[in-house]
Amino acid sequence: MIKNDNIKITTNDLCVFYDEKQALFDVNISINEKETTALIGPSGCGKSTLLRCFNRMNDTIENCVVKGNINIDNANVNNPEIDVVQLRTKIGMVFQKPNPFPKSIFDNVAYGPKIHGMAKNKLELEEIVEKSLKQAGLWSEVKDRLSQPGTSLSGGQQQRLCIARAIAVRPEIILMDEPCSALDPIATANIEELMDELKKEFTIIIVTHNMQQAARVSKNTAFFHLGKLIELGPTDQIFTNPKLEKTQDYITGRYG
Amino acid sequence: MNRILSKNQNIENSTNKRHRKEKRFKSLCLGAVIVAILFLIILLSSLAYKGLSGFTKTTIQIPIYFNEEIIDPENTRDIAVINKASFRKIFKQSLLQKFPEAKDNRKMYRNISKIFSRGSTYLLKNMVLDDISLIGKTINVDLISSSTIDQLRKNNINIKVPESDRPVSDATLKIYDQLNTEGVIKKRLNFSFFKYGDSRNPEEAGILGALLGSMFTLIITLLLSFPIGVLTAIYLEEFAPKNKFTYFIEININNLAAVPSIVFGLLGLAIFLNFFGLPRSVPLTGGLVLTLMTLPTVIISSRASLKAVPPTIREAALGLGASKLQAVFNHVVPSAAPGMFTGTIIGMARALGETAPLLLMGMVAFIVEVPTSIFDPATVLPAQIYLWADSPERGFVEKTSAAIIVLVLFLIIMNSLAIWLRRKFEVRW
Amino acid sequence: MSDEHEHIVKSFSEDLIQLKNMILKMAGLVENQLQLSLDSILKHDSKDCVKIIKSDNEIDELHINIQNYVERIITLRQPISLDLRNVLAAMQIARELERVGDLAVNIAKRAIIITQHAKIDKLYDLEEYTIITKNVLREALDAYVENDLKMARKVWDKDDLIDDLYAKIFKQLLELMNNDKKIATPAAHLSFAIKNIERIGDHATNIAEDISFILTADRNMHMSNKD
Repeated sequence: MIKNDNIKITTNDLCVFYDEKQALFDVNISINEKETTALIGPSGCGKSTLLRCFNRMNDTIENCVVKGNINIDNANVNNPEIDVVQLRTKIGMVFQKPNPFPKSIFDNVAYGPKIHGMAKNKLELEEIVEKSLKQAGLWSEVKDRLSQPGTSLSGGQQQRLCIARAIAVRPEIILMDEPCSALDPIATANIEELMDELKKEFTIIIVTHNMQQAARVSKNTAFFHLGKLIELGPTDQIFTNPKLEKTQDYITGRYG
Repeated sequence: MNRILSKNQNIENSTNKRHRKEKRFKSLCLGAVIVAILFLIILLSSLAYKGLSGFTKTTIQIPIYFNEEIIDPENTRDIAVINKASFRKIFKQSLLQKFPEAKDNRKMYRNISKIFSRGSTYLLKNMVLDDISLIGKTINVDLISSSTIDQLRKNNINIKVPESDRPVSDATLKIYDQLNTEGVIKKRLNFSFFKYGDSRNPEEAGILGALLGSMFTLIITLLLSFPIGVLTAIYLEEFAPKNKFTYFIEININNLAAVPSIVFGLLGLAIFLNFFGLPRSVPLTGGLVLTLMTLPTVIISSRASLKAVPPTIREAALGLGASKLQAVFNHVVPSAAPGMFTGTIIGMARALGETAPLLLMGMVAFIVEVPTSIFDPATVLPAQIYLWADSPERGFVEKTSAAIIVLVLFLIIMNSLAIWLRRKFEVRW
Repeated sequence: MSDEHEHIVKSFSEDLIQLKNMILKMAGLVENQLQLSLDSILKHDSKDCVKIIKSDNEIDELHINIQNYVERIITLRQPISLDLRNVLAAMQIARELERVGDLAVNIAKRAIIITQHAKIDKLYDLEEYTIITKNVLREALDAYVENDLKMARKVWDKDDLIDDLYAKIFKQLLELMNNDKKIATPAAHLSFAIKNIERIGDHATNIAEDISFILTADRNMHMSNKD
């Protein structure tokens, strides 16, 4: 296991089923607070499914059944009584393909705070938007064109806009599902630098296919295979000398 | 050159074959487009040829003496008195002034008076009612000619055939020529086409009644089918659970879009007229029936627009903590709006041109009064066109074509609006 | 062992095999040099010594090739974990081999001078000493080929044995020098030569440690008591 400073999320025997097919088998994982944890593994291994369990996005998929406990700050969120809308304020999500709303840059970032009533007046809203864009490293590039549509930005900028949008509601956890897979190396480097800054304030969980990226950005890495958690450990240990042969095979490219 | 590319003669042959096939296909398509354009040109030119003349009318200028003794002998200047006065006498007096030879010749007088529109006396009365100071004066009035004379001027009557085969007698012709030489026969733009309702006299028939009837009916249809259709589509697409029951509903809605429109007329007859006892022939009921007919179109096109919104937008909104309702109405619906508008307008354009369902509502009828509300009896443009097309008088031919031109213009405007709306709000993903 | 699975990209596996072969080729040359130089001391015959000295160039060239090849693999393949250790260790082993080659040359140079004098007798342990050293190098290279941790451990354990033999022979040599002042010159050179042999043993031990690093990710042989 990993050294625990402060544990933010744990799961107990988490299982996910899509109709008859089981996607996750008894996953017991533990995520530390204010650190970046990477989920790696081949396609179809369940890492995205696990990610979407944390903010209950799997609820939107028909025929998806989630069994087991998901504890965030020691409260089980896989519970029908939990208000999913509130939960998603606490947990933000950034998706694989940048998906800004077809609205202005300002409205994109302001949407979350607006619907949750986080700003009492227009001035406060503007402050929240500015702060979020600054934190996402996008402010200097867009401050003169906040009214332009979000879709007029480049791919990397759009993804940073999505990050700004997610952090505008002040979540505690940010989930990132292959956030850089559609971006060029420079945009990717920008996002990784941003993640480095963000982890001081947020707990970040990133799903990635790119092992070098996982090695660069995360403190702990979890390797999944066919719906099971195979190994969880400090990143430098997983990538230099993993304990299990399956992990070793995957990271060296002998998986086949 | 292609020798370098294909080492294989077979490949080169098949490539050539494919190129030839493509050329043939393109020529075929081009040919089809040309044929279509040709048909369109024929339609439009035939409409123009027949209908443009409907926008002009013929007037004959005659000096009219507004004899005070006939209109208001006691100088009361009272409207009621003026109303009761016999303007027919005014008319006759002035006419005999102009044509003294008809003084004691009844037959001749009749020939002469038939040159003028039967509504001429009402025209004179209304002139005085509008301007009382006319009483006692003699002024030149442009009286509207009868439909026959109108058609004569427009060269639509064959005068070469023997007298018994034509609607104008020789005597009338002589008077017409005389007046023509005097230069008192004028061509005017027929604004009254847009001012009056239907009439038995072609020269007085106007399209206003049908135009307003169509407008009222369409407004009712729009106000009902747009909200109901759009909200239904939103519910079915975003909120309803996907089970056999909703699938069944979807199939039925799709089928309804293909149902012949007269069936909706029967439905309306049974429900709105017989069961609810709503008034016949009014835009309200017509609108209700057309709503039933348009709803499937609106629902289907709205659903298609909603489906076209990428799921990533919904996910992004939900991920921020928006409720399902917020995600749908703040993001999905605005993005789908252009498609919804387009679908609605296309549905409206179809409803504008429908006659069959309204047949059973009693809106395909001869209605003279121009409607002022949705509760007044009215007819609609396509119905008016049908009625005029069916009338025997020569004068209605051009009126029919003129009305068709109005209807086509209306449709072009609506479709242009649809295209403009779609272009303006189109979101590029 | 993960080696049993091939890389998905076959040319990566082929690159690693090629690297190993380059090491083995260099090792072959070095062993040969060592054999010849040790024989020249034992048989008191310097006929091959010039050849030994000249052949060192070839070994240096191979060393440079191996270093370049390692750089290429790291750039193009970005190896991690086991593969990275393999590649890093290969670089280190090549270096050790190059040093052994240099030491063989030094022995040959000493042999040239020693053979100009009378053979020094009564060094009864010398032959055993040379044989053990040669074997230790051979065994280290075998362990590298076979990825055999046990074999590497055995090599590592023999280090003390070689050190003890060196001390013993050196003492014998000193005694002989004290008894007969005339053999001072050849004896002095011989003492350097046997020191070089002891250093060769150390390099073989280093190679064994590199092998252990590849297989266990542990650089410290003292700690890895398992296997």
